[in-house]
Amino acid sequence: MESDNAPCVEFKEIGKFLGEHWVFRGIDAQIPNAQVTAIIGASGSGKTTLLRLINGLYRPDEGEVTVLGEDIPQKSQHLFRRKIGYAVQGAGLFPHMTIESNITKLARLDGWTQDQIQIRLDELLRLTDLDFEMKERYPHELSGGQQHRVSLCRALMLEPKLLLLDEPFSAIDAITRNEIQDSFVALQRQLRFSAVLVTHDFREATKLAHHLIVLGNGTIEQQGALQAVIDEPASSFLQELVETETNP
Amino acid sequence: MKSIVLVTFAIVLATVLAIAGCGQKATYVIGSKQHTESHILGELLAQTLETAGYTVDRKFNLGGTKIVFNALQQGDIHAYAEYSGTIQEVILKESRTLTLGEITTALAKLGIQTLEPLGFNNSYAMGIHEDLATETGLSKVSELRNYPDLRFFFSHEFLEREDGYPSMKAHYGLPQSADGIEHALALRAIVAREIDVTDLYTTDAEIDHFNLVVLEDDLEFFPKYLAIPIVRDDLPEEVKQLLNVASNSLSDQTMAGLNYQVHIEERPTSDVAREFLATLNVQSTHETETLMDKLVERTIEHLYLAGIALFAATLVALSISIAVYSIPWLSKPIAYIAGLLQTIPSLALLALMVPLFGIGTLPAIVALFLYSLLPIIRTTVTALSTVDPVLLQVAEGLGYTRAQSLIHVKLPLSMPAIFAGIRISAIICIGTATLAAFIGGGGLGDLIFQGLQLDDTRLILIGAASAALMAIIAELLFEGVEKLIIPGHIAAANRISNDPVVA
Repeated sequence: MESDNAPCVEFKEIGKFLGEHWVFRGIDAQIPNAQVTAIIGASGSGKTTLLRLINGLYRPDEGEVTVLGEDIPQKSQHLFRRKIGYAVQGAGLFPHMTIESNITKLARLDGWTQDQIQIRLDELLRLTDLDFEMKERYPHELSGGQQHRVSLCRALMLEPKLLLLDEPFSAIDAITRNEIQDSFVALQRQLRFSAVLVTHDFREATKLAHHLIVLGNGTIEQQGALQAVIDEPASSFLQELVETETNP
Repeated sequence: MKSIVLVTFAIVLATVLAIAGCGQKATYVIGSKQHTESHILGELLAQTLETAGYTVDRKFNLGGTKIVFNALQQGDIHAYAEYSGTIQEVILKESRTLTLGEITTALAKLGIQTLEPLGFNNSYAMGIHEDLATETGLSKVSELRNYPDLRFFFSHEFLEREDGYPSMKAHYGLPQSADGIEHALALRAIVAREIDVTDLYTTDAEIDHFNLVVLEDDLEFFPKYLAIPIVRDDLPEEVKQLLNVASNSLSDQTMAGLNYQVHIEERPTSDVAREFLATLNVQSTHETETLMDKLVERTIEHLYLAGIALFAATLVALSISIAVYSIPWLSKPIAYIAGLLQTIPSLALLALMVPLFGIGTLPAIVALFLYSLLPIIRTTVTALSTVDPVLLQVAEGLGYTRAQSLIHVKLPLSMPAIFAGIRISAIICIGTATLAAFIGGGGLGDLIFQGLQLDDTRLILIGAASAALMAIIAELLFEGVEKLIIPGHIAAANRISNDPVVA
């Protein structure tokens, strides 16, 4: 295991070409361990692209990405991805699987024993305030908020050191979102995983993240600890965000 | 393709076991075409061999001269009764009138031996109503010249074939032109005196029944259609001798009488054949199948044909679809080819199988198999390639392998569509299998063809209704299975969840 001081994810001179243009170039960034890092920026700034470079869904056209102390492998990427939790906008639960299957299927495929699975599942359901009776239900029988909690459970099932969240809470109503955000903060405090959160919601970023990466104009405009960024926003875009969100 | 090999192997094995299981004496296959007279003659040959202790497999209702003759040449059947005129024209394609000796020599070159003629000549003849004959005194074809106003209506085949009406008109110098009509309709119309002259066969059961008079072919226009059993020349001498049982013992009148019993009195061909054999001192103990026996037997055959074809088609179509769905340049041509197969009329596809696989169950299954591929391939490829991309991205991001994503996400989500494809194929299979009888594949089509041939609506309805019932049961069965294995909301929400969402 790498030392706690080593970054969880490190981008070195990253460039990504998509479609007909560079999404960004020259990205140098470090994502700290055991903290929540939010990637923010205007739409089209490449937030999701940057996230997908972490678990190998995209490959960089320039530069190197190091994740959990190692380069992204060329082969058997699925084994690499199983060390990283993943959740997306709208929960993305498999509609044909029960809640239990949604959460535990991959553990089963990964060779976990029934006991291991049961213990982990119950722990996650408890941590996310989900009713045990829900295990047998299908996703469409759950509320939007419950579905998102299940999505978090699924992402955390294999005990990942790193969790990737792509606008995970953006498709739900404000009240439910608040509750889940609170749960998430509690969850992270308890399990101490590292997380990278893509969001277009600055308020969400300030609530959940310890660390910010601000994307803009095809590169990183600013990165650093949350408070440092809020205190000294480096771009007008950020300046505006900080003002509207912190002084309602 | 592997499953085709398996199916073929299974069928060959089953046939070998069936033959081996019969024990003492060999099994011979007797064929017949789809008309009553051919059936009766087939029964005569079949029961003669059975009486001598052989086992006989009947491949009746074969669709047309070429199919039966090819089957004989390929060894799918061992014997059937053919007409000299048909041999000359359809098989040897000779426009000149051949003598029996010439026919025998020509067939011998094809490995086929002609036995003794049965005695009757089932040729074309001109028929008029008895009353018209009385009123006009008409008795010979040449006398038709004197009645230019008579209304001539002929079967389409007679109107069109070379030795049909155009030649006859020239031969006799007749002034009348003629129109086409269905044979069965022609007889009714002639009785109603709506038409005056039509073509008949000299052994037609209807001649007596409808009070018709056959005009004498006084200028000898019509070729002879002598009925002759023809057999493969590699049959044992003893069997050939047996098949000569009815040589020269069936006059035109006797044959017309037998046809009458079947066609008008609606007696089973096997009964009529058995009683006639008794007059030749052949005591056949062949028991006529009851309708129930027939129905059960044909239903089982039908299920077998449709079931194996559907099973093989499902396996092959799913394998192909899974292999190619993600490669558009491959999946499109494959769907196109499968679609092309579908546009071949089912009867034609069945007929096309005969040169490749002979007659019987195998070619029927192969044809049904090919026919069932498209619906399954099309629905499966479409379903697999339109699964919600968000779900696939989540599966990939979480660490599902490609195979795991296919097995645990894509396939289950595509199940409702795949099932729909299989259901459509099942219905097509069951419906099309009724045509298998055409190439000796058996099934419920046998009842329908028999009914058509005997003008027996009840038999047609029983065959058709059973096939329809089978289709409905299959439909319900699939619905049940679908409910068991696919969660209800997936079946219902399949289309909705396929809405692509871009994260």
